[in-house]
Amino acid sequence: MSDSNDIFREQLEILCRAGVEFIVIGGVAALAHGAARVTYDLDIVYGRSRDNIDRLIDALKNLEPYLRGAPPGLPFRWDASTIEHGLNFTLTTTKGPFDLLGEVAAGGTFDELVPFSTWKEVYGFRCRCVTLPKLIELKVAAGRPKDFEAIAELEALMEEIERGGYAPEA
Amino acid sequence: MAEESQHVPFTWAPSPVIETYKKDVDRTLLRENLKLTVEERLTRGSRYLASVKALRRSVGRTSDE
Repeated sequence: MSDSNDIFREQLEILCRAGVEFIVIGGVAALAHGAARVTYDLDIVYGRSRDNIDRLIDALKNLEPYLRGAPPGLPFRWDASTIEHGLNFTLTTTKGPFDLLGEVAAGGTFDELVPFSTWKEVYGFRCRCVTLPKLIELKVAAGRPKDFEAIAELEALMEEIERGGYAPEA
Repeated sequence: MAEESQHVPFTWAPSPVIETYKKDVDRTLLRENLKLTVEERLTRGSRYLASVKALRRSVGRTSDE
């Protein structure tokens, strides 16, 4: 597990350098929009084309990816066949947890979510990040009681942006 | 014939539960974050997470002693 003080930078850099097509959602997207809640993992929706899967495999192959919460010793292989036969993967890696989603409730696939994303310039890279209204929609659709506080914060954030005249997509 | 879409449009109805939670949101933190760049927000979040992890390890060690 990474103890880095800049874990999200490292994780995003790994994906961007490999040319992976992805959209940041979840807590890191909330953070990017201005939320104050601490988040522990990077959630992304990744493109399911074979080329992109290959890039994703390449990006994480040296980070000892393994299924989070699974008992040790399972015959988990980090390869294109595994990704193509699955969809959503919650992984531990030497660079911290990655949640890789092929589809997300109320957001669909990468291609379906692209119109609800914007480019963010971070650490010298361009990353797609889900928009704040869509992020709220995804959280609502997930329907988890643990998200109630996060949804409340995101709605408050949107109100602050509307009231305060901030540039929301800086 | 094409299959009819099952997509149900999202409706933004205020939830009384969420409205209750919203009263406890510290908006001063949000306003401070909104003054930062995206990169500064992510860096701050990463450092806060590292602090939380360090604190947890410290508490774990203390309780083991």
